[in-house]
Amino acid sequence: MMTSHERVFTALEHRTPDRCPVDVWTTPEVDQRLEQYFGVNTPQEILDKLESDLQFVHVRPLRQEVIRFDDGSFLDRNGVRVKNVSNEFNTYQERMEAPLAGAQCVADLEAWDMWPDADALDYEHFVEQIAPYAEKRVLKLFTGGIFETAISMRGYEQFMMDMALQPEIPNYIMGRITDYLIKMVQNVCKTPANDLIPIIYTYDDIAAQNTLLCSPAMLNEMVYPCHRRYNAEIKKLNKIILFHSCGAVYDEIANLRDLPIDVLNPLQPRAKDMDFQKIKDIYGKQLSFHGGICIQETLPHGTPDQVREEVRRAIRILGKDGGYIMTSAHHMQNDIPTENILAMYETELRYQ
Amino acid sequence: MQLFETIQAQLTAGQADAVAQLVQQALDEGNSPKDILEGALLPAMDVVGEKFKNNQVFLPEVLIAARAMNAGTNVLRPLLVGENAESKGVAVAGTVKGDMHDIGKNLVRMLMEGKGITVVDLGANVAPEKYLAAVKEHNADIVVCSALLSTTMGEMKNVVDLFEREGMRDKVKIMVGGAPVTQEFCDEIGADAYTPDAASAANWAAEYLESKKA
Repeated sequence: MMTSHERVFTALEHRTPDRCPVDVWTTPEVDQRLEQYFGVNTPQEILDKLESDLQFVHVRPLRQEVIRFDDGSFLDRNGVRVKNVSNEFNTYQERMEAPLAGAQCVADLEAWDMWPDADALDYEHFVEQIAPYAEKRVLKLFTGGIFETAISMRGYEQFMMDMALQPEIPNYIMGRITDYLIKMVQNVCKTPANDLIPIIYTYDDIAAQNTLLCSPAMLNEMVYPCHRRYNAEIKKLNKIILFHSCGAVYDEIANLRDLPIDVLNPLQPRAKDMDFQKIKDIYGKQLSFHGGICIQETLPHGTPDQVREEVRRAIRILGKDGGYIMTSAHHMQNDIPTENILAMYETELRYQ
Repeated sequence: MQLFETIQAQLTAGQADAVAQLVQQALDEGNSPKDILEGALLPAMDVVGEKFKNNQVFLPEVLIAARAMNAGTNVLRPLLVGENAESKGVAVAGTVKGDMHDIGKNLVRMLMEGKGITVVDLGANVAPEKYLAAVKEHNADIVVCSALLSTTMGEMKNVVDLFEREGMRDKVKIMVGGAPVTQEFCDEIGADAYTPDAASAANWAAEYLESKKA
């Protein structure tokens, strides 16, 4: 039997591993439920139980205390004020106000004193935090989004209008975020953690369920140049790039490939035109895939047998000759029954 | 008419100041507010909605066009009150309880307004009782429920059920939409219409209101 490392790298080199590698992508509420189910105490033990071949690692901020407000809201690590909002199943952090909403010009942006600072992260203790997991699983370094983070700082609608009317504002914000991410990854790779982290996770949702969020021209002129600059630096460090965008990205896959990226996540199966067979046929030699199991319908509302069938199908199509890591097409939400999660991770499904 | 065409071109380009200025010019030249609204502003927004539906323009272009339309209607609004240009109908729109994702709902609002429909925007995280109260207050014809999450779409059934319980179900059409929502789901919870995108939602609402009048 292969180790997780052998399995993942075999798949990413587009060769057939002993069985399809898998990843586990959960919300905290699902972790709690699975901890209870398995009688364990940590998310790490859940990954053991589900035989995950990969996991995320995060560099923590040096300053652990969080700035909180009287109404229970707080500042996230990008200086954006958020609050917890609960529904029947989950609690999410939602943005309350965009700190850069009032900026009129680039000078106003330059004057902001809350820009994320790559030197404010705790690199010194990072390697000892992640070392216990590195042998068992392949580590993915969570970094950040560029477009998405910029949107959270400026406000969704204002940012979108800026793209059309005053592009210097989005360009400046995204440029600053790109600088930050590059420095963060470079800093990590100067530490011994460099040897433990083969995959860098980057993201930016460029699409909704049926359409792109902005035109291909705007992606090309504004969003992709940031990713190209970022990815060029990541590639200098010899890392694998796992890129995430939700939604109907089919028409943009060739452009995403050329950023460049190595692995595309999450292949949201119910988004428009996300036909796995077609995507594998056209891009399967150049790209690997990560995700694919529907969290909109099959996992929350399907039966365990329907989940098994979807997993088999994804592995059969996307995992042909390697090139696929099976996992949910986003964080598993708390509306997914435990039995469906267990069905998804049945070991025998991973063998073709 | 040359000036109306210029207004339409500036509106689709999202030039809010220019639209406001040209609308004022059109008034000064003796055009009625109703003619400007129905002959220039609404048709231009209609074009944007159709292009959005066909993936020819995207969110940024719709947002700037809607803002430009607002700049134009703001000039007209004080004058329209006295004139016989009543709203085509009233819709109450919100993102359902527990869900804070409002961009899809906002798009629906803008494109419905582009059809001459009055939209009462309840924002995000809207409880079923709030939809009901707003319908009563504004004598609304349509309820628009949006959700991004599979974990919140179930709230739409609570909205339908509440209107049923309160004897208000026949008074309104309930429209549902958002990423995880499907026609099957719409049928299952007893809502009236599912539309896959904001432009289709505006079209459905406009057609329904038209048929209601007839």
